[in-house]
Amino acid sequence: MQLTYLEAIRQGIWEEMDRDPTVFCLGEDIGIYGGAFKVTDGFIDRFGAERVIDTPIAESAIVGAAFGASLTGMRPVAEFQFMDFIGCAFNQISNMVAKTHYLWGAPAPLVLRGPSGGYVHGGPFHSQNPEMWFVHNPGLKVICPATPYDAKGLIKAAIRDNNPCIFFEHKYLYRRIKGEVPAEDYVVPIGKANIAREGRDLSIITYAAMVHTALEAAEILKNDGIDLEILDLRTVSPLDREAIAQTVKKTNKVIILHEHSRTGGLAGEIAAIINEEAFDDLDGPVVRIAGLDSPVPFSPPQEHHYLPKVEDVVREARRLKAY
Amino acid sequence: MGIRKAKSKPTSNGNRPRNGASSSKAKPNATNLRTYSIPDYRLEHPNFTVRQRIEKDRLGHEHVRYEVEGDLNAPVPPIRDSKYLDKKQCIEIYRWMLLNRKMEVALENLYKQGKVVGGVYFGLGQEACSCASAYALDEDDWFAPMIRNQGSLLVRGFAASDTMMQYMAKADSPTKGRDGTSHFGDIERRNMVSPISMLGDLIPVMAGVALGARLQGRNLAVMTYIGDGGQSTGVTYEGINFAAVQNLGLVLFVESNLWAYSTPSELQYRCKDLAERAIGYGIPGVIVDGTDACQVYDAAHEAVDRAHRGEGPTLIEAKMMRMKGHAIHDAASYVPKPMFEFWKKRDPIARFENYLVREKKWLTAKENEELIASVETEIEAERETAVNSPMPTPESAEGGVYCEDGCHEIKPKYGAPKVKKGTSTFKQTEAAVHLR
Amino acid sequence: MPTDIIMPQMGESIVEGTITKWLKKPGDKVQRDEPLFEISTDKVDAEIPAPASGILQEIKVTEGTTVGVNTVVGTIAVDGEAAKPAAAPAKPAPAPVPASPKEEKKAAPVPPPAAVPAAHEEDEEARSSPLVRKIAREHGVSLSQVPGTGLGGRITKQDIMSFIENQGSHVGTDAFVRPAERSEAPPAAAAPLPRPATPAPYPGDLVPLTNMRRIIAQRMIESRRTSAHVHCMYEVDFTRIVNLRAKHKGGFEQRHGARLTFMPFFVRAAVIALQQWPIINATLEGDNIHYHRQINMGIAVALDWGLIVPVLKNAGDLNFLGLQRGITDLGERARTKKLKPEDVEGSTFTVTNPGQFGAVFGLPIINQPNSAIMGVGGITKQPMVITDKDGTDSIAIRSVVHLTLGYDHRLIDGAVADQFMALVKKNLETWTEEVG
Ligand SMILES: Cc1ncc(C[n+]2csc(CCOP(=O)(O)OP(=O)(O)O)c2C)c(N)n1
Ligand SMILES: [Mg+2]
Repeated sequence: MQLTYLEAIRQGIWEEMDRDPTVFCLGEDIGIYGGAFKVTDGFIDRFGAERVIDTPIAESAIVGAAFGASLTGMRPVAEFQFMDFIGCAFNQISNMVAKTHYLWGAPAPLVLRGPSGGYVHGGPFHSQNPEMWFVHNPGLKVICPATPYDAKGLIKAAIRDNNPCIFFEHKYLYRRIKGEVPAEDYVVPIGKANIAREGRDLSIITYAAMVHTALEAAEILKNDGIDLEILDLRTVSPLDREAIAQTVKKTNKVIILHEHSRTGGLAGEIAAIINEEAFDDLDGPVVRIAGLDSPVPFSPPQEHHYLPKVEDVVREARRLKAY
Repeated sequence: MGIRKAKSKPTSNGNRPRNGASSSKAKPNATNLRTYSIPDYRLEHPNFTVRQRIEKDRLGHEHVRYEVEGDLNAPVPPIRDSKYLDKKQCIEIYRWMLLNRKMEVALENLYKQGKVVGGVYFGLGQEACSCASAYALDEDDWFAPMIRNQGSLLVRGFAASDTMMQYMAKADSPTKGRDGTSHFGDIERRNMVSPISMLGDLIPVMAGVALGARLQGRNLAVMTYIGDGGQSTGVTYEGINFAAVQNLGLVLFVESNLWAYSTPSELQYRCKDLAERAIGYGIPGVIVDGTDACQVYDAAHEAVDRAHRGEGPTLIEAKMMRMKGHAIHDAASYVPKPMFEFWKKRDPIARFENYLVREKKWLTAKENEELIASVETEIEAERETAVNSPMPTPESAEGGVYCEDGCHEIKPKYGAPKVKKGTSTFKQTEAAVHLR
Repeated sequence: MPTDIIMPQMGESIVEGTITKWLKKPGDKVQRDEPLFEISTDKVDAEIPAPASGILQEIKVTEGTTVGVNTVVGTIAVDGEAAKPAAAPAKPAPAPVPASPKEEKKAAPVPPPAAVPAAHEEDEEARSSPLVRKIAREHGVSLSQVPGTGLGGRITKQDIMSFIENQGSHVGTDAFVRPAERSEAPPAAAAPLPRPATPAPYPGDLVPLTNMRRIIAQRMIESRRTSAHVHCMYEVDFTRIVNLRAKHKGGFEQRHGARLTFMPFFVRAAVIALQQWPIINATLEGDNIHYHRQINMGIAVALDWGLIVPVLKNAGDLNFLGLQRGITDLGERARTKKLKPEDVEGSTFTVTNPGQFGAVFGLPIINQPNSAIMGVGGITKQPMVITDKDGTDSIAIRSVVHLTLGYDHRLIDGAVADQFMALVKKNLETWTEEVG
């Protein structure tokens, strides 16, 4: 079945709610309105207002309440209208939820999900990719799918996981990409990367919307005789160290591509992993392509300039190939 | 495995009795109860309830909808005469309201012509609240708009083209394309703090502005707004409480427009009126009709005076309705139609026009027409300016993340902070510490 | 052989120095101890005297460049050697050139390799990558032979792979490569070998180095540069051992199927002394001394086609028979090219036997990363003064062997080396252990 990225997520949550009575949703405008992006459209009609809860605008309370409910054996799925607003709940997530199992042995099987990312002229408060705030928080799992198949399989895995999972849905992909999604039940394992494209010359390690940027670049580079391998991380915490090392061992040249700002970004962490796991396999410097070290600007020319693009990947791949 | 307890009989709600306690039967002593009242300046008290109802379609599928209950046919009340505004001031406010609305109409057109980036937010039905509130501020006072307070910006001296250019992400917009909507500020001349999207975060910031000014010897009024939805955030509580404890001149308009995106106020809070929250903070709270410019102004005026006297914050709840969807993409189909009809009759501009032209006769029909025409001309020119501004260059995305190379001089705006002249000298502390 | 000029260590904890000025230019005559160049370090600035008299042949490190201590900064062709100034001094790698400001923001610029193709600059270290260096180590390829086609002549993976393919490189057991060194050896492992600047003008055959030869050459020079070599020599009365061996030779071979040689005696004597003096069995690692828990005895085996040092692991745990068996086995496998990579790695101390063709003694080069190497000279009969228990001296004909210890003075001082060797000598002269 061909589904959009958004529809795949929607179906994943729907099926989990159907399957498991402990799963419920809460968030702002998710009921009758079906969510700002319509991910929970129709849910309230099917599952009722008890399990599809329109909350006050209170992100801290949403996370706190989701966690509390999870303590009683429920599996809450909380929506952030935009992931930019997750900062309002940061303390609950970082100090309450993330630490609870380590400190007092209470699992927190909850999912915090919502749209993130740029390319839609959302401006500085509706375009952010705040995954790194959580990657640096032991106790959380951070998931960033790139395809409808992975989005559905991972949202299901996240709901079934006994740990707090933060699920970043790239809003640019919501309705722009479609992909084959099987009708039968499946999950995609958390923490496992996927080779989105096999190649031999150079690896792009990336995730979420950037996977598609890399895939486009690969088509262009093919004509230059450069064969890109694209590793889609799918989960950014925990990282699939083995897959990272493997692709480096295979192609010996790596570009790490991510949308968020360069400094303190995921590429730094991955470069360190490569250093630890596969230094001797490098045939060139590890290259980073990332957003600028600034907020995401609103105006299209500026946003375009801020964000990584196909041209950037093509240019850097050519340079690195020739290195 | 938990500790085994002697089985106790569950009470009717399924809970086990609390450690043998019996439920309290004693009647509360009425003399211990305190009562507070909240001044309510409205001339009518609409009383509606919005609730969810399950409907079945022809196929038997269930759908959850909102429905409204209450007297939706009540007659439109008159405008309450202002205690403070004179004729000229009323006409000025009226003009700001017109400008506000016409600017938004222009924006809607620009949007439909593909000239707006992102969406457009409207203050339709809320122009009285935006314009008359800001009108009550002194030039030195500070304010911070929320997204619907595009009228406040005009009153405070920004050009309509500023807001238009923000929406069109133009190079000459106040943020030079970096952000849109009313997200801009000016700490030099117009004393405006830029909002961010995160609701409620401005409240403590404004309290801080008042604090800073007070440290420099000035009691300023600092006005900002929060929606019936946005006030649910924790930072709202923190900000108001901070201002209350510190006696800071915060003038907080709670814009009770019945909806927060698609969420009715019933799902947002349980008290009857949000102004009641003031009781809990220990500050004055008042209710006004947000579609009546005079009521809005008078309440704001008194709150600003309090602030100038150093008496602390005031919470003003303005009741009205958001007359469009959340933003231009939202048809607001979740809003029960009768609510729109009820509030359409209470359109703040139509009512104020009626008040000025027919009741007070402060404007002749011709003067009114001329005034409207002059507003239209002004908007036309502003729109021209805005449209003709170029888009920013890609490279203008860079730089300005840090204040460096002397781009700002930071100095007390209102004079040297007053400092205590003490005699005791620095001594090493011998106090016990929390952690060693 | 030209004499290396090294960056001296001007005080403890100093790890690098900057050449501020060369006082001579290539081709100039220099006298030993004549000021040759000036340096500046964290602690001191100093004038450094020439280490030898001759012609300043080459300046490898230019003014203004900072290098680690013990780095070879130039060479002197010692008097009598044909000296010709080398082509050009190595330039410090140019700073990465940002391709354009626009690109720089997006991706860290790939540091472009040196602008000048390195290929013809014989003495310049070939630019490569960690992977290429790994492949080179594994295949025993010297990178200076591999033409680079990458940016600015960098050797890419493809370059080395096709080089290896074309060369049909047979690696097998003669890889004088110890993985232990892979991580420990400084990148200088790939340091250029001194080569005549121009091909010899005399008639003769030009035979390319075998891999083994090339690696031995590299390792020996590297060791010379790395360690502060000092040697001491001990004369040992070997009569007792010679007699013991003569007595047990036949039976030993019958019982154990292995020839009884002298080697296990030396090894055993060294093992006992190493246990007493663990510093001799240690490695200098940066600012640390790595005391090895095990004694892994490197045993140099001369081959028709070179030299290899297989390692007898855990020699401290083996009895005499175990030592003899291990030594025989390693020697045999070395000669039949059946050593496995792990057989040649991990040594902590080495014994070599330069005396087998009659040399009285040798001054061996330390097998890095060991700190010492014991050389066994030839066993000869000599007149010797012997003092009996009554204190009476007489001259007797004795079997004598000369043992030398080459040790790294960075780690081991003379007194320690002497006491170590004295113990080795005593162990041999007063041997009491069962031979089996
Ligand atoms: C902290 C936070 N959470 C969520 C949002 C998304 N959001 C933007 S406006 C809005 C509704 C606001 O309603 P209200 O405060 O009543 O203001 P109104 O739109 O009615 O003027 C929501 C949920 C936000 N901006 N900030
Ligand atoms: Mg509202």
